[in-house]
Amino acid sequence: MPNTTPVIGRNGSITINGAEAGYIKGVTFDIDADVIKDYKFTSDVPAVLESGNKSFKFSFEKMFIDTTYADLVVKGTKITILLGPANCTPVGQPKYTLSNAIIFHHGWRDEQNGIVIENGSGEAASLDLGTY
Amino acid sequence: MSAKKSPAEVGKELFEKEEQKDREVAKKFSPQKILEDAKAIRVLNDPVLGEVKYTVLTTGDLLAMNKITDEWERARSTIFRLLHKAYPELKEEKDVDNFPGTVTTRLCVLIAGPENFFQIPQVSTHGSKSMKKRKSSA
Repeated sequence: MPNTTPVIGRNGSITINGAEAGYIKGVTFDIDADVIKDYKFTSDVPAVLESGNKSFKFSFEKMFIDTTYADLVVKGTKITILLGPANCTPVGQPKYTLSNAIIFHHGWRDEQNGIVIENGSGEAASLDLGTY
Repeated sequence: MSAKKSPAEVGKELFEKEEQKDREVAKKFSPQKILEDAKAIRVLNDPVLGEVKYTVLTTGDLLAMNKITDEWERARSTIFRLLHKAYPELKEEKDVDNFPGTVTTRLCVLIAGPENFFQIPQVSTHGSKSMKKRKSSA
C-alpha cells in the first residue's frame, strides 16, 4: 500500500486574537448551504439556483488549549483554527482557516499545561482555503 | 536551558505520547500467548464448593466432547476436562463418577452459567469496537 503524505492535514493549531493557544487533531468538516431555487411559469427547470446561507460546522478528535486560554474557550470565546499538512507551514502549501469558531459540544479533561477537549464539535463563521 | 514550547507544540507532543501509549497497550494476536494462557490454571470461587481450580477447554476438548451423545456422559467429560490439569489426582473421566452427586450437580450448575468457567474476555477499549450484540430473546 503506498504511504503518501496527505495534501491537507487534519491537524492544526488554534489561535485566539492572533496568539497561538493550542493544537487540534482529527478535524472533519460538515458544511451546509441553503438552496435558493425558484421557477417561472412554463418551465420545469429552475430560473434561479443559488447557494444561500452557509454554515461551517466541524468536529474533531482532540483539542489541546493552553492553560492561559482554557477558561476563554470553555466559556465560548471565538477561536481561529489553522489546518495544514501535518501542521507544518512550508510556503505555498495548502492552508485551511476556520475563523471565529466556537466550540459548542464537548467534554474536557485537565492536563498539566492546559485542557484537552475530546470528541468535540463547533461551528465557524467562515472557512477559507488558502496557502501558507 | 531549552526554549519554551508553543501551545501547539505542547498539544502535539501530548497527543503523540497518548497515541504511543495506546499502541503499546493495544492487544496483539499471539498464538504463543494463547497457548500459554490455555495451560494456565484459573480459580473460580463458588460459595458452595469453595475455590475450584480449572483450565479452559481447548478446541480438542470440544471436538472430543462433541462426539459424546449422552448428555450426562458429556457433563462428566466436561467436568473432567475442566479440572484434571489442576488436580492431577483426577486421572480419567471415571474418577468423576466417585464425586458425590451433589458436587457433580453443583459443577453442572456452574458449567451452565456462562459467567463461570466460560467467561468470554471483554473487548478492550483500545481494540476494535465491532462486537456483535446478543440477540434479544423476546
